[in-house]
Amino acid sequence: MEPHDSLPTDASRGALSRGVGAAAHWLSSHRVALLGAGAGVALMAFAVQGTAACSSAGVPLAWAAAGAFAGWHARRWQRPRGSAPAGSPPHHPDANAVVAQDISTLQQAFSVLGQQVNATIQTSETAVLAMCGRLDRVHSCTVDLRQRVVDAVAHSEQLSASSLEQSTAHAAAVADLATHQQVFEKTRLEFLQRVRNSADQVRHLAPLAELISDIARQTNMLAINAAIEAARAGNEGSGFKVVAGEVRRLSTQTADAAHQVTHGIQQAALAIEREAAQLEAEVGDSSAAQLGEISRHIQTMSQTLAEVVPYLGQLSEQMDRGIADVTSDIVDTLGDMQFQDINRQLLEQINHALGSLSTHFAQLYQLIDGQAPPPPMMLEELLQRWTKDYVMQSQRVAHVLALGSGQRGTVVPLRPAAAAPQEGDEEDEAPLAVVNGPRIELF
Amino acid sequence: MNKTILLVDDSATMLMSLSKTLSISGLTVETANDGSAALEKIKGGLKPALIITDINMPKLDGLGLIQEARKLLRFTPILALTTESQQGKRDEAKRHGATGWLVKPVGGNELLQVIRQVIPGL
Repeated sequence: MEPHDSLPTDASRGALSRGVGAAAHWLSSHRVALLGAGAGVALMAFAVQGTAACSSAGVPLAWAAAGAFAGWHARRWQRPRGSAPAGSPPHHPDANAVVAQDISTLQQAFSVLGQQVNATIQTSETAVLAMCGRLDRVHSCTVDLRQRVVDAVAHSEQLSASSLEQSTAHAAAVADLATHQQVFEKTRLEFLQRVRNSADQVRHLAPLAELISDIARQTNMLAINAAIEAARAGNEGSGFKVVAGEVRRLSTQTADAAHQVTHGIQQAALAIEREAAQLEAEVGDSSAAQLGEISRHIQTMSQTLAEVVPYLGQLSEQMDRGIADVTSDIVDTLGDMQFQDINRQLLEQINHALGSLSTHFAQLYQLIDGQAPPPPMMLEELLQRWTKDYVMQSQRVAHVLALGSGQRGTVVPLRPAAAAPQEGDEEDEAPLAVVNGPRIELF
Repeated sequence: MNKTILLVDDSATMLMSLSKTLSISGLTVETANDGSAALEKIKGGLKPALIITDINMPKLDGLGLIQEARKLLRFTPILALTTESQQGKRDEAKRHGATGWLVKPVGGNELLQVIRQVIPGL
């Protein structure tokens, strides 16, 4: 059964109202035909039981049928007033008065029951409409969540492609660096070898300079000795003295040259070392440049990741909010289902009232046939007794409204919400439409 | 939360809807169809963090359950959740030791809010 199948339509509600009203009107105008009324009430009770059990769309029709049946049965069993069939027992002296009064009250009884049924219908409609609204919100929320997931997947794919591209770039940069490191290492080793060779060659020059210095010293000594010998030889040695002087002067020049060579070798060694250091520094700078490029790549990747993390966090929050909204609506929809319990109690009360009506009219029928004394209470009192079964404020309000709309008997007045019970009030005569305390109260 | 709530109602719909509402919120639920069955569970050792009971029920009604349960569970909060609107019954529930009175229908979130108020540390 579709959920909306249980909702009565305006047409069916109208049929119910017309059926019940027609029966009540007919009974009221003809004053007798109680068996028909009793049968109609019994049918209504059956219909209410059906409502409580299955809440089907046919129930209002059953109500209308019950009303129509009551009218039909009333006409079928109608007898002229005071013309009892021959051989039947004599009427109770109060029978006519009792029946007349109860029939005059019957319309109120139907009005009360009609109001109770309307209250039940309104409860159902309100709850079902609220549930429909919440289900609609749940659906919207679900669609929204689905769209968010679709967006998230698309964004993730985009980020994934970007990360893949960056990874490829990183891999190339790392490969370049590795190649560069290999070349650098090879170059460095070759360069070091060349430097060592040059240094060795320069160091080999140093003893030669020493040798030249030593020869210069020995030559100087020889020149001094030659000068001494030339002086001892006198005039014959004067020429030799000049030669010795020249030799001495040349040895001095040679020593100076050797000293300059030594200094030059030292300067050359220093220059080689400086060149080696500078070359090594240049190679290092190149590595640093490559490392810097890799660092930039890694930084870009980190930025991508930094973008992903807040996005996922935001997405997670949105999903949590959406799920919380859905859960909240589901929880409230579950709360709305309490209407079924409320309607069950409303219909049980209506069913009980119809049962008492049926019994009452059976007693009246027996009274007319002279089979029994008048019922223990008048219909008006029976109506009042229904209020004892009421547990809900809506039932009491419906009762008062029904009596207020077409009443001819006693009407129990509405009392302000804050009004306290008056002295002499009995529980059976409790005011019907008092709002008793807040809907939610913690003591 | 891991707290147990004892639900007492003679309506299967009420038990189902309330059970789902509470279990969605992480609460454990025990159910009973009337006051008598609920009392048996309590006597059997059940120590709920909260009792939510209907008032008009067969066998032992809600007022009777509140009275008897209060003797066994001195500090357990007991909420009446009912269609009953007579002030006299509300007052009687209060005298018997009920913690609160809620008139049906009560929205799911509204009910959870009340439960959080009456169960410490929830």
